[in-house]
Amino acid sequence: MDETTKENFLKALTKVIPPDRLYTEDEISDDYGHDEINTIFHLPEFAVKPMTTKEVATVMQCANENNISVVVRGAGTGLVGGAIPTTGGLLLDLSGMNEIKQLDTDNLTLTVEPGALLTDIKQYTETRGFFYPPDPGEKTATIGGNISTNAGGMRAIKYGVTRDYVRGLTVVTALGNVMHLGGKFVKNSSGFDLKDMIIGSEGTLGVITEITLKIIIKPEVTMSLLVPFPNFKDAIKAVPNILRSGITPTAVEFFEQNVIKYWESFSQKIFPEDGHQAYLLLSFDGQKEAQIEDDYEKIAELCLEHGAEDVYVLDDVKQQEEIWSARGAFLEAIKDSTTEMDEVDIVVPRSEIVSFVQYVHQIATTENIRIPGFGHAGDGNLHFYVCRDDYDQKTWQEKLTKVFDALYQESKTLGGQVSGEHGIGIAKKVYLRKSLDEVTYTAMKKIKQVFDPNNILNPDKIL
Amino acid sequence: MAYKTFTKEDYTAILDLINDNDRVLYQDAIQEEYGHDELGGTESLPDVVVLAASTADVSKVMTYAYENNIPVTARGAGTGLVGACVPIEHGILIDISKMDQILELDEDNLTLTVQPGVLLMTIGDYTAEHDLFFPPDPGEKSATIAGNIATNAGGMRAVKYGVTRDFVRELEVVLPTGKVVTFGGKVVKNSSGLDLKDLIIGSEGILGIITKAVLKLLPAPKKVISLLVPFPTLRQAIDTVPEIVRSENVPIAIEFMEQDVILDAEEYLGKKFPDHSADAYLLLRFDGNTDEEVEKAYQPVADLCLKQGAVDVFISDTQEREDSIWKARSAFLEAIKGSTTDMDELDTVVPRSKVNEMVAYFPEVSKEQGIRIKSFGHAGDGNLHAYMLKDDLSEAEFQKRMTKTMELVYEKAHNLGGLVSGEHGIGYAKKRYLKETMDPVNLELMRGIKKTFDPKNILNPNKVFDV
Ligand SMILES: Cc1cc2nc3c(=O)[nH]c(=O)nc-3n(C[C@H](O)[C@H](O)[C@H](O)COP(=O)(O)OP(=O)(O)OC[C@H]3O[C@@H](n4cnc5c(N)ncnc54)[C@H](O)[C@@H]3O)c2cc1C
Ligand SMILES: Cc1cc2nc3c(=O)[nH]c(=O)nc-3n(C[C@H](O)[C@H](O)[C@H](O)COP(=O)(O)OP(=O)(O)OC[C@H]3O[C@@H](n4cnc5c(N)ncnc54)[C@H](O)[C@@H]3O)c2cc1C
Repeated sequence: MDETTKENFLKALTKVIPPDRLYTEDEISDDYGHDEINTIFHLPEFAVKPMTTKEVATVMQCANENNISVVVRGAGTGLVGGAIPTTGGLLLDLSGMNEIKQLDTDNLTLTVEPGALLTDIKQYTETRGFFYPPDPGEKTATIGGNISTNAGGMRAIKYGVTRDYVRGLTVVTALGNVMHLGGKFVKNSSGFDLKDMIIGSEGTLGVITEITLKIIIKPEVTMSLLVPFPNFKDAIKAVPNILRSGITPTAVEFFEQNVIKYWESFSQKIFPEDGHQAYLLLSFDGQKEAQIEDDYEKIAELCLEHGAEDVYVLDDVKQQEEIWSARGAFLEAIKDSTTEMDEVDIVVPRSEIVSFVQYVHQIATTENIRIPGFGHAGDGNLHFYVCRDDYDQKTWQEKLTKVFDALYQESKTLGGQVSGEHGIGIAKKVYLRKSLDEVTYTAMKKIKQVFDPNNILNPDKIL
Repeated sequence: MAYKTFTKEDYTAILDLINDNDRVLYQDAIQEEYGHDELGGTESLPDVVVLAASTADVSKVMTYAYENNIPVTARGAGTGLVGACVPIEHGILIDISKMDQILELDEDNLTLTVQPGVLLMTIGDYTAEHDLFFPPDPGEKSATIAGNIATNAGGMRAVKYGVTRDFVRELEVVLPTGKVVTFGGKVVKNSSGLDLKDLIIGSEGILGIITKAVLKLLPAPKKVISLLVPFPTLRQAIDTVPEIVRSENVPIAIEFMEQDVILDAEEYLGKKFPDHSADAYLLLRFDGNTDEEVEKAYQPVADLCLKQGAVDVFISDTQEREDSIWKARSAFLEAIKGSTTDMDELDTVVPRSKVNEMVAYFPEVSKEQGIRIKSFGHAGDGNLHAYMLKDDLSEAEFQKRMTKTMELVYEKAHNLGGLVSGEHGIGYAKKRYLKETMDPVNLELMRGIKKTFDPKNILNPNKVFDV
């Protein structure tokens, strides 16, 4: 960016954003240069913390006029570098727009600003008897970030993903126009579905500045089952039988012994009932204890019929919290077990999970590299972490590329997709490119152009 | 936009591509039905009809049309209510109703792969045989699945299960250039790039022609029970709806109806409804796996209705009663149609909390504009159907009063935070009203998207919005 453009732009910004919310040069925090994966770092030239839709709109107009690239940042917990300003330019930090604006108990909606944290939304709704079901592991992410990555999480089988809970969006376009998409109504056949275009678009099509979420009545009772199996195949093969039973668990998570070991040394705790090869962790929720008991007893029996070694019922809250917080810490535990790692967030048809996991084991052996993982077995979304351990930088890069290439190729062959819930960002761009046919890829590119003719919004991402 | 005039040579060329005389209809062979849909307000015949038998057929014809600049319209069963499948610019009509095979039931992934022309009732029967269930339940069971997807049809189970959009996992689509693409997959989650699948759903055949769909299924609930709840006034009935939606066990359906529509249906079917003594009714439906479960679900809701002033609660505890109530409900549209000379409809959707205001507006505008209006609707999801009846009005007078009424109602809906269409689409008939109620910014983006998919504007031109 040349100095005059820089000056002009800065002048324009100072007219919109007060100095205490406008940062340049060494006022820019290092945090703005990376997200949670930490393998990429790049700082913006300017950063602003807008407080209103109007401010965002005016800033976008200035950026568009001066042809400055803009990257939106929520809490920066992303795992694919989506919020990193890799081309410099302006960083739009929305964490200050974090108000919970309206709970509408007639329409069962909650209207919030994009910077509201998932944990605040949970707290706000649940203390009032309501419930926002999507439950990705990272609770300090912003709702704007969750929507932009279409985050999934631990309750997707029964309740769906973030996309399913977005009723309305206010979006500032790349040109600085304000759009209202969707609303408080629950059905819509009035023209193209622009709302669903924005969801999952990782800040490349527009800036989300207000959200109307769908909420439901809070389930009063939650129970979990921990079900050990002699091997991963039996565990995973039980899943379709569970989902066909007519009883839908809230979660069906899968993990193997190795991950438990990492967790034990990371947390210095003992995993309850360890010593088995593979596990399913199920949870059930509802309004009445008796109903849930009925449900999980049937499922427990079904698991035993399909090769489970045992079934542990976790009916007190403490036990449940212990196991689920262990499950929540698996990512951290694996990270702690190695020097550096990178992840795949592949999603395959449920019926192909066994093949995929088998393939991962095989690649780990042939490449002599650790690839521990776990996954949302109920929805075919698997997280595997390729660990560097003691490899030197060059060997590591070679191996990582080779392993990633192989895993994404296998997933494609099995009818899968590159990302189930973390998005593409910058880290998974090459793999998205490889997985999509030319026509589809071009269609996405052209839509990007329609929304953002000057390619200023998160220009380096997804495509 | 100037299109190529369709000639005998084009017909011969298309016949060559399809290579089957019975599947390419030209001139006198084109039946009159191909010129309109269920409501008949929009009429225009195609130059040629192709009864496609495969994706390759559709792709070949589309490629030819693209190269020669000939308009193409896809037609399912023609049950649409907004003229969406009517070939306004003539040209080629691709009838996909013969692509009617169920291709695969995948019991591990709980999906059903179908050709686009499979009828909703076929899917219903087929899944029921396997104890599975495709929840979307629009009234017209002889519509095609592609028509349902193209209009994002809603129907009578949306309160609990959602609409057609929520049950589509993957689509194979022939683009206006003739290229074949697949959007989505058998996967249940996806954060891999822009959501093109959802862009196709509800796009009324103006972005691409659906040639295959993978649908999401659920295990079939084993028990279904309905409650018919008479209320002294419509207002009381509607006021009860948010309370019901807030209750612990959400019904699959919450429909409202008034006495006059029930009387029409009784006459139309020649059969009595279980009750027709009250002014207004809510019809609720619950499902579950056991009788106890369903009973536990509806008991508190029944009590709640009584507390809110319901006159009584009739429970459809036999299959026969259950069928007769829903059969009547499904016949409302036909019954109203039978009660007058001509009609057009509104399919507006408003936030649930505004339903009362909206339904109170119908009699008001009816009186003011001098046009008979009947309404019923999906109260649970704020989607209201109102029918403006011609009766003895002259054609000109009917059009005049109807247009004015529509303008007023859509404006009202817009002011209440609602939209033109909840489930029937925009098509040709509602284009004007979409334009009047939609932000220019949104409309401009829609136009831009249309243009990138269909640069020559040959696929179903003149629908949804003007390019
Ligand atoms: C420990 C851990 C566990 C996790 N577990 C899960 C899980 O189980 N399931 C799951 O799905 N995900 C999981 N995630 C990923 C998590 O959901 C994402 O990191 C989160 O959604 C990003 O939110 P954020 O506010 O941090 O966004 P950022 O990282 O700041 O941004 C993410 C992307 O969204 C864009 N963006 C942010 N706000 C807006 C806005 N208002 N308008 C437009 N674009 C915007 C950014 O430009 C960027 O492309 C996990 C992450 C961690 C670190
Ligand atoms: C009595 C009655 C009751 C109804 N009740 C309901 C209800 O409760 N809820 C509800 O939502 N709807 C309802 N409807 C509307 C109904 O859902 C639609 O008519 C139906 O979805 C259209 O399907 P079709 O096969 O007849 O499509 P058509 O009428 O043939 O076409 C409709 C649209 O879909 C497009 N299309 C068709 N096939 C394809 C394809 N393969 N690819 C791309 N585009 C295609 C056409 O171009 C057109 O734009 C009702 C209709 C009637 C007549």
